[in-house]
Amino acid sequence: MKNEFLEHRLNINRRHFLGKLGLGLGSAALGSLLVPSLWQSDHEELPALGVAHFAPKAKRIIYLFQNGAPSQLESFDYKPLLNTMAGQDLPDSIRNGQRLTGMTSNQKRFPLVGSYFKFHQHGQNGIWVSELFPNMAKVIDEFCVIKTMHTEAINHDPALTFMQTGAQQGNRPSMGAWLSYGLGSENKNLPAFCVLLSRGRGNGQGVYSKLWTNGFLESVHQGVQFSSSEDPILYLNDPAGTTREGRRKMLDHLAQLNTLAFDESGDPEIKTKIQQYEMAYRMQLAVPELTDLSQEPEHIVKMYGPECLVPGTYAANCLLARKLCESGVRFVQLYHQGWDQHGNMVGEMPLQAQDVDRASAALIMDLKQRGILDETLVIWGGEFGRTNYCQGDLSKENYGRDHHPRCYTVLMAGGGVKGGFVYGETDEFGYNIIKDPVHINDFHATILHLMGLNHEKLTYKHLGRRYRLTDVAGNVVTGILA
Amino acid sequence: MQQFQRVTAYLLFALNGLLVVLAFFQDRLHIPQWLGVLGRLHPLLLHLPIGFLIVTAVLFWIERKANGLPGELIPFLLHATAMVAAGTACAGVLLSTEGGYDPVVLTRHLVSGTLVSLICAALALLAGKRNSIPYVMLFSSSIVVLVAAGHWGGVLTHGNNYLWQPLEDRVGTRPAITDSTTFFDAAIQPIFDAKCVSCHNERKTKGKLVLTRLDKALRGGEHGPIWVAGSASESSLVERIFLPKDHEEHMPPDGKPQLTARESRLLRLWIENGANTSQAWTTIPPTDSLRILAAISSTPTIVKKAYNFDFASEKLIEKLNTPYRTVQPLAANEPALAAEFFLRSAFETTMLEELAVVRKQLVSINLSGMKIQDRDLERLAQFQNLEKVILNNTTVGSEVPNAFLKLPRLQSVAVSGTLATFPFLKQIAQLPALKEVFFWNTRVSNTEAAQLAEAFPKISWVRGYETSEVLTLTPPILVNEELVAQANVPIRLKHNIPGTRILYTTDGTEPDSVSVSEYLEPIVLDRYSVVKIRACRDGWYCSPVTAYHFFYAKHRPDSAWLLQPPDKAYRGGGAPVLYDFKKGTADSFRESAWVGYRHQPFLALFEFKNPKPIQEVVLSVGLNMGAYLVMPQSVEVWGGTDPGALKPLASITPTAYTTWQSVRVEGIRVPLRGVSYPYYKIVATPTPRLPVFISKKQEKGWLFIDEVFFN
Repeated sequence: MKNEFLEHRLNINRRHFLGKLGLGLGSAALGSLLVPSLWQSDHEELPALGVAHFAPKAKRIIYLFQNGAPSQLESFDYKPLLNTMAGQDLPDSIRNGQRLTGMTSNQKRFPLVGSYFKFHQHGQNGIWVSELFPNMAKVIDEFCVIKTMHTEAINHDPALTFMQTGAQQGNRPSMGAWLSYGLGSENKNLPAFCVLLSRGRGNGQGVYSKLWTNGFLESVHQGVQFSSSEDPILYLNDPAGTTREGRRKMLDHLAQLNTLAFDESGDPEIKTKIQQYEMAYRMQLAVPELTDLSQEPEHIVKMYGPECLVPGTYAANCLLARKLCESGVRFVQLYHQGWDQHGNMVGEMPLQAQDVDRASAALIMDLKQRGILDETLVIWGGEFGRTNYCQGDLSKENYGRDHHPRCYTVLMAGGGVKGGFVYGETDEFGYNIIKDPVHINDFHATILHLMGLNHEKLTYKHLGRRYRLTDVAGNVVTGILA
Repeated sequence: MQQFQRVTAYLLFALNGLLVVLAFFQDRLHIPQWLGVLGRLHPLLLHLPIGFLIVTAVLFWIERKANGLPGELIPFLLHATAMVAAGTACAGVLLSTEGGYDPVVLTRHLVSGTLVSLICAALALLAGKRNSIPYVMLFSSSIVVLVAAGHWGGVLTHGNNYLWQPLEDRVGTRPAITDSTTFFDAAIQPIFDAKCVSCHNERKTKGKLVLTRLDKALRGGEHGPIWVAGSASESSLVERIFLPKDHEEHMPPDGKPQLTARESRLLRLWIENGANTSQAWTTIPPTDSLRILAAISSTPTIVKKAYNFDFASEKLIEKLNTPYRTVQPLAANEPALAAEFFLRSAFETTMLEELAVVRKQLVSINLSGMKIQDRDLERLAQFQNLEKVILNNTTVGSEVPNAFLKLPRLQSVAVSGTLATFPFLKQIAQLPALKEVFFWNTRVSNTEAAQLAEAFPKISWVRGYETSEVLTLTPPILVNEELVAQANVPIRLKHNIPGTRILYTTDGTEPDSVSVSEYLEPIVLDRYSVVKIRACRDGWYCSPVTAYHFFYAKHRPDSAWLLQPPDKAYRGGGAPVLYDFKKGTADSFRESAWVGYRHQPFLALFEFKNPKPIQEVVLSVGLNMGAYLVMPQSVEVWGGTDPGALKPLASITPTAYTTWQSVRVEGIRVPLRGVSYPYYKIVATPTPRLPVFISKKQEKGWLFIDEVFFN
């Protein structure tokens, strides 16, 4: 009896249905009258993924990361005062309480030291460039020289992580992963985010795969590290005896099994895996076409320097970066190690500069002569600057420089930035910024802007809140936009 | 009770009389200053009649429904209500004389407030007849008028729509800040908006000052303009802001949200600097204190290109996207599309034809590296809105189809790495909207390029950049992975630039000497050799010389014994590693490929079961000067048929290096003139004294051996 009553109440007849419906609709209508925007979607409507928010200036990025922090004072930030005041102490009024690393904080004196290398003016606007970079000086009119980058980190790892992911701690998605997430890939036969490493002859600092991580984004956005051997992508060839048809059949069946697993667990990573297998299958065709350098004419080899045919060198990576960029890879990240001149600046800096100068300039011009520099953004720079005072022994022949987060120089060229242009100003001591500072968050906001993305709208919800590459800061540096 | 009601009845007459006089003849009356205090009580008193009237109304309703309330309660409450209503109204009139209110709203509030007082008085006086219908209606009307009076009062103090505002969109109506926004609009007006306009707006105009717009702010208030450009001390705005907070004239009034220190400094500085109202904020240097105080951030302006064609359907676009062809809108909400093709081996011309469905929308196409010929350009002619075409590394170049040349919007053409000729580019130049051509690495000569630039000066002709610098080649590459050569394994060399000459010697001399050979086919060795190689090519400097030490392996011993055990730390794999033909590297000398000696000589016995004539014994020695690995002082070879009675065959003293050497493995060759014995003993003594350039203390050197070859 009791059950029947219960059942009766559970049974929804037409009268119940209409009655409840009326009540429900009525409440909804009342709600919408009281709060007109009640049935609108989120206040902040997020733009669709996979397409630019507005017309982009650049479609792709090649980031020539100079890992270890090249000295701005020996490259692009000319400070003759340091030569005239060489040996004198850094005034306290300039240092202004800046914290130092443990490597120089115990030094009794902080003697200023000027560049051992000479500077000359180049290009239509007479931009000062050190003699160590003769080829980049020749194409300085393509570059926007930002002298006022600054950061909060004072050691390599956090600084590098900050530059690449917008946070010092790591585990946030890298810039390339954000772009892959926001814009998708142009060429479905290659990863959207590729990473190339090379090592110079100077004092080196490590790079780790956390720098090209997808963080909390789907793993399909992770950077793909290329090997520095003759085969940039390992294990791409089918094993002996496997035909392409056989491989196709194998992948089809594997995909069926994976789909079954996906239907059961719903883990999105399985979908990613299926996609990645398919891409690898297409890469088997695309990569040999891409990495075949034998078709490069001799004067291209001359432009980049003959090392460009030696796999794993910076020059070879620059050439490969151009080819990847031509093939629609969204973000090519290079790292060239060896720029950490705590000592032996005079010995190591020329070697490092020699490694990168010719190929960096060649890359710019090579993109230009193919008509794709205007749709490619090239970035050149390190993770922080170096001090204007000497670390260790100062002699006429040699000196070293410690880490300096308050100002450093980064160069940009191509898509949407002003060429032959210097942005920002540092003081005569090359220690503080006196005009137009550019924080790393601003730098990221500007890069996203050039790529047609509003940095405040490119978000991903994780751990209960929306994250951005610029997190909660950053302004687009409108001054450098062409 | 009777007494109370009689007194209040008189008072009600008096107060309401006063109220009517005050309300309608206040302009003609002089109100003493001390009454101002009473006026200020209005916001306090007004809550009393509201509360009293509502309580009375509820009790009145209860009384009508159910008896049981004390009969005198309602009349008492009504009298009390009427008293406070009259008092509140009087105070309100006094307050209104302070001015600064929107006159229309004020009049409405005044009339409705007075009416509340009058109705309440009537209700009190007629309390005895409260069961009649007209009385009930009068009571109801009192509530209605009360609500109206309350509403207008609210509008006076809090502005229009105060109640519903939280439900409305809070996004400000001010336009976004751009580079051309004036400093006033970007930095000053926002302060007024946040801290001043709640009392200085068009409705509530305290001190007759309106700060919602620049022109009204410039008009000033009842004491004239509120700022004097260039003189903060004469500006009442600054003066009032910086008065002590408890001062009567201080602005904003005590209790209202105060200006922050930054805001007040900014206002003062702006006025001192001339109160410029037309200057764009971007023209002020960023180091200027004004800019720093204002901390304005601009949102970059995004210029949207206007396309006057329709959107293609999303489904259609999705269908066009394949792994080898990408078709994407330039941006969200843009009808224009860009197409790109990838993977030369997958390309077919039908993939181009399929784009016909978006012929209106396509503005850019990248066919770089695809199989495209001149006649395929005809297919591009249907895309009437094309602005950019990339044809790099295709085989176009001799004849441009006429239809292509009529493309009205084509601005940018790239034909780098194609067969493009001078006539081809001259045809291309006829495109009506053409702005730039990229034609590096084509069949166009320097003089022809110059002619093009001269004939079509409006077009930017980008030919590329070639360097006339002479550079040094990189050394040739050794293809072999092993440095042990056996009879059937020749040595292969290559260079990354095809056609580069490779020169080599195998006798240890420099490859620029007489004995040099050019590498044409793989090199076959028959003994331990130092192969030196370099690359040369026209238009380049020859590469530096690289040397490889090749070990030739002919006869493998059947067994070996170490008669003297190696140093404890470097025993390696023991005797077997000496004849396994596997080389170690000199920077990883801790590996099992090596045996190491320092205080004792290396002493090993080798056995051949079938003796063969031996021409040379080669000791493979690790050289790593940083780790004190150097050449031995001497090497002796002993031989014989009885291991107990061997006789010396040869002995050499290797030349010690006098300069720093790179880390490598080198051979020490001991010639033997074709002897054949079953047993050989090798004795190699480590150097007892390192040269000074390696160790200033002249310590003992290390001897590391990974292999002994018998040839």
